[in-house]
Amino acid sequence: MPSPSAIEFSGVQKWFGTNHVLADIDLAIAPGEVVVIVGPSGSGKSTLIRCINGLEAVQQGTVTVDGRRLTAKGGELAAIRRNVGMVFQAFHLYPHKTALENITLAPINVKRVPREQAESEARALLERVGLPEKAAAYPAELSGGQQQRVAIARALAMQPKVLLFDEPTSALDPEMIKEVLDVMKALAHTGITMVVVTHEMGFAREVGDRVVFMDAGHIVEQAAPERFFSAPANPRAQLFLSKILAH
Amino acid sequence: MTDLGWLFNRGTLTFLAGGLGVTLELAAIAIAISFVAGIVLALARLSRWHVLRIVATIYIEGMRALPLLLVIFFAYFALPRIIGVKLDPFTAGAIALSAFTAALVAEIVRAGILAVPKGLLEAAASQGLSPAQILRIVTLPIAVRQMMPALVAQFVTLLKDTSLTAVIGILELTRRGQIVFAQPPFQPIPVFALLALIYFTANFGLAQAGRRLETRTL
Amino acid sequence: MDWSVLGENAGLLAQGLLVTVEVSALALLLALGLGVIVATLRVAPSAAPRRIGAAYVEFLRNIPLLVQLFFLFFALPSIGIKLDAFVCGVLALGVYTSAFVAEAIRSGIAAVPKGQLEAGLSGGMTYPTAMRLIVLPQAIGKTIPPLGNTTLNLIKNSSLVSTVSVLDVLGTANLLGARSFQYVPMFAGAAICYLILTLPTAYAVNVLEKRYAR
Repeated sequence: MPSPSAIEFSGVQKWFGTNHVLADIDLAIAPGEVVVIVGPSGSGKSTLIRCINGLEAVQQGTVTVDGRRLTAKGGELAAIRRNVGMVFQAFHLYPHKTALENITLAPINVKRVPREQAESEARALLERVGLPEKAAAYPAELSGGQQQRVAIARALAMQPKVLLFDEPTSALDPEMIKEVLDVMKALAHTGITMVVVTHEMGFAREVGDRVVFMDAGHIVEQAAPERFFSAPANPRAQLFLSKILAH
Repeated sequence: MTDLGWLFNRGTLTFLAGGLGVTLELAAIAIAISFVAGIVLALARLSRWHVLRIVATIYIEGMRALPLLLVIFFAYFALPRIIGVKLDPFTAGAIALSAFTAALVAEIVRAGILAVPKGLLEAAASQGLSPAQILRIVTLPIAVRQMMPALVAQFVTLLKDTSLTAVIGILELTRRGQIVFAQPPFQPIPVFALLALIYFTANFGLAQAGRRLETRTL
Repeated sequence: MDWSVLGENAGLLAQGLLVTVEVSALALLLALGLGVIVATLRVAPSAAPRRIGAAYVEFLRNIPLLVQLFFLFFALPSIGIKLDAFVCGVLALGVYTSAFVAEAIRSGIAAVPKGQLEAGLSGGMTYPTAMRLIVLPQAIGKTIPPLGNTTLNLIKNSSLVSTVSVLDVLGTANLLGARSFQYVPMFAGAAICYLILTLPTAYAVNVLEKRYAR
């Protein structure tokens, strides 16, 4: 019996008004796989991963996570979301909570983990992202890179099976990108399923199991990183790579 | 007018201080009620349910279009005829101030809620928090911080507005001032100077306290 | 409840409405005139006029309008100044509101980036010219919403003149309510009168706000 996909898109269509943002998406991601989604801006990358935890609803087709279909129903949706962590481009840390409270908020309120246990787990997570001394700091007191590492710890606190990254380094100053990518690289080796939208081609090549290239709402090409970066088959992928690697 | 012993004596000052007490009590009650009712009204106006939204909108816009003095007169003279229960002036005044200010607070709260970045709500939702939890743990605390300046300004207005309840006979500060200058030696100007000083100090104090609260919570 | 009193006294209420309009319009003129002067003080380049302007605004804003109105009506006669109740109403309302007008204009001017004034000055303009040609035109858009709200509040606040026996809408409704013991219909009638004034004003403010929101 083949092991079920961690995430599966089947015949997915989505429009924003007349704009066809996701077209004929079929995509299966295996447990533990690290998939990097690349493509020009406006190609539908972010919309695609936002469908995986129901932040966007699809109009046709199905998205399943861990064999469970994402339907826009309250209780069941929340149950699926517990297993899918998300890291945003703009961090979105709760400004009125400390780093530690940001991390413990969901375990305490959603999973009903006792406060003490949640806090000791949160401290361990802060250790893991290299910020053990920032537990009591508020987001406004942290640099962008530190905020994003706390946000990763926050996403991990729910012990998700899947982690989504929506351009996690795009809002960061260049000198802070590495510290976030290092944390992500370490995570990739733990066996968690990761879907990453990014412009960091180095990361894609080094860490990704598979690169998915999107353009104008379509998945145009998908391949192992070494093949995609050395010999892309699709002309639009070739054009995209020539532009982005010229920098 | 040189000898102000008639004003600055223990009896008169105690009488006026009692008026300030009533003023502050009235303001405190109305602030508490209008704050809670304002949040409920704002949530109703932002609700997904049509009926709730329409009812809240009519209430808020209607109240905002009417003079407070009319609402006070209505609460004291007309409301008892509708509900069949006689209201003493203090109760009627508290109802009117609360009902009126709640509509204004509701608009402040609504603006505060709408100003909470959408991404924060998505972050909370993506962790499996329920809509009610998101509202309680994320939206409202952040919204309240953002709307502190407007809220404090509204409560300064409310403190001034309590003076209007003098017209239905509540013995608050303004009404007691009237009583004092209506007695010998019939000198209103020193009484008004004192009233002005007291109101100014109370409002200025409230505004300062609000500012301190702002800097502490931000 | 006898709603027929409302029909019988519609003419009197309409007269009251006219008085409310008169009080509001005259007070608004006074408030705009004084408000512009005080706002000028508040953005003056030297500290002394700025301080005087700030004191004026803070003093008037922090003392209840009713106290200010009662001062004109009850206290001034004790030093020989006897003013008609209507005049007291217009004066109190106009002066009180001028503080809010001044604040609206000042915040509008403050919202124009400082570099705009500096660009004008460094181009050789005098301070008043740079204000008139560069800063004020940009400030108008930002001033419209708060000025609109101030006008709405002025119309509603005009009801306070009823406390010194002016027969505006509220004064008339109150009098007729007491005479007929039909408070509910009379106050409902008064509410309709105020809505007739405030809802179109609110609508006009919205339209202006959108037009100037750039």
